[in-house]
Amino acid sequence: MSASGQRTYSGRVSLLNNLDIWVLLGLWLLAIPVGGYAFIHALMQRADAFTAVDKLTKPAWLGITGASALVLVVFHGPRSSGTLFWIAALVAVLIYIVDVKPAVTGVQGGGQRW
Amino acid sequence: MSAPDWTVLGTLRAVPALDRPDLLADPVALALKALDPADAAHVGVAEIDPELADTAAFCAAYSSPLDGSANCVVVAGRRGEDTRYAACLVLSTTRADVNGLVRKRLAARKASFAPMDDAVARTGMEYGGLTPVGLPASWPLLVDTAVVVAPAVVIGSGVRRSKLALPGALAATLPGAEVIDGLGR
Repeated sequence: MSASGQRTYSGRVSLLNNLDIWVLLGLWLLAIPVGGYAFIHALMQRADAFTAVDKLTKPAWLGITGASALVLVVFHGPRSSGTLFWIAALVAVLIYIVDVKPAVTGVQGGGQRW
Repeated sequence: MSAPDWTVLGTLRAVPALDRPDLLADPVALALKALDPADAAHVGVAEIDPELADTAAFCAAYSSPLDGSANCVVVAGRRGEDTRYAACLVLSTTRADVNGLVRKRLAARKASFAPMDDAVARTGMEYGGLTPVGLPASWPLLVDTAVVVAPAVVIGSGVRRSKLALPGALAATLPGAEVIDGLGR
C-alpha cells in the first residue's frame, strides 16, 4: 500500500520535474517548420525589397534564417545541452517573421494593410 | 562631346540607338527622337538574348561590369486614395532607398515597388526591360549620383531583346530627372 502510494507520488514528482522538458520539446517541434518557412520566405523575395524597407540585406537575412534553421535541427531536443542555442535561433526566426517579413511583403505591393 | 564610349556593353557591339528603332520600345524611340540629336547620338543599342535581360545574367554572359549597369525600378507612393509614381535609377550594385528618400520625395505615407503588371501597363515597356528613357511625362525620374558620375551605363531599352548604353550624365538630363545623393545604398 505504502509502496504503491510512493510510486504514485514519485510519478507525480517526476511528471512535474519533466514538465519543462515537455514544454521545450513542443516548442522545439513547432520551431523547426517555422525556421524552415522563414528561410524559404526570405529566399523568394526580391533583393532590393530588403534595402527598400531599411532592413539588413537579403543575403544577411538568408544567413540568419538559414543558420537558425540549421541550429534548430542540430541542437536537437530539450535534453541536449544546446537549449540556449536553439532558443536563440528561434528568437532570430521570430524577429524575421514579425518584423522583416511584413515590411518586405508590403513594399512589394503584396497584401493591403490599413 | 567626344565619340561615344559603349565599351561598357562588354563583348557586344553597339550601334547608335536611333539607327535601330526596331530594338526599342515605342515610347523609348519617341523619347530618343525628342532629345537633342547630339545627345541622342551618344545612346547606343545592342541586341541581346532576351533570356539574358536580367542584370546578373546579362553581365555574366557579355562580360559587362556589374557596376556598369543601372537598374530602373518603378515606385508607387500612396497617400490616402492618391497613388503617385516615380522611377528610380540606381547602379545595379546598389539598391534604391524606397522607404526613405523616395517616399519623402513622393510625399507618400507608404511607398512600394509598383507591381510588375502595373508598371508594364503604365510605361508601355516590357517586364525586365524598364528604362528611364521614355517614361510617362508626369513621373519624376530619381537618379542616384553614382549613376550620373559614371562615364557610361547600361540600361534597358524598353524591350528584353536589347540594351542601351549611354553616358551617366545624360541620364540626369532626361525629362523629369532629379539627381539624388545616396538614393542607391
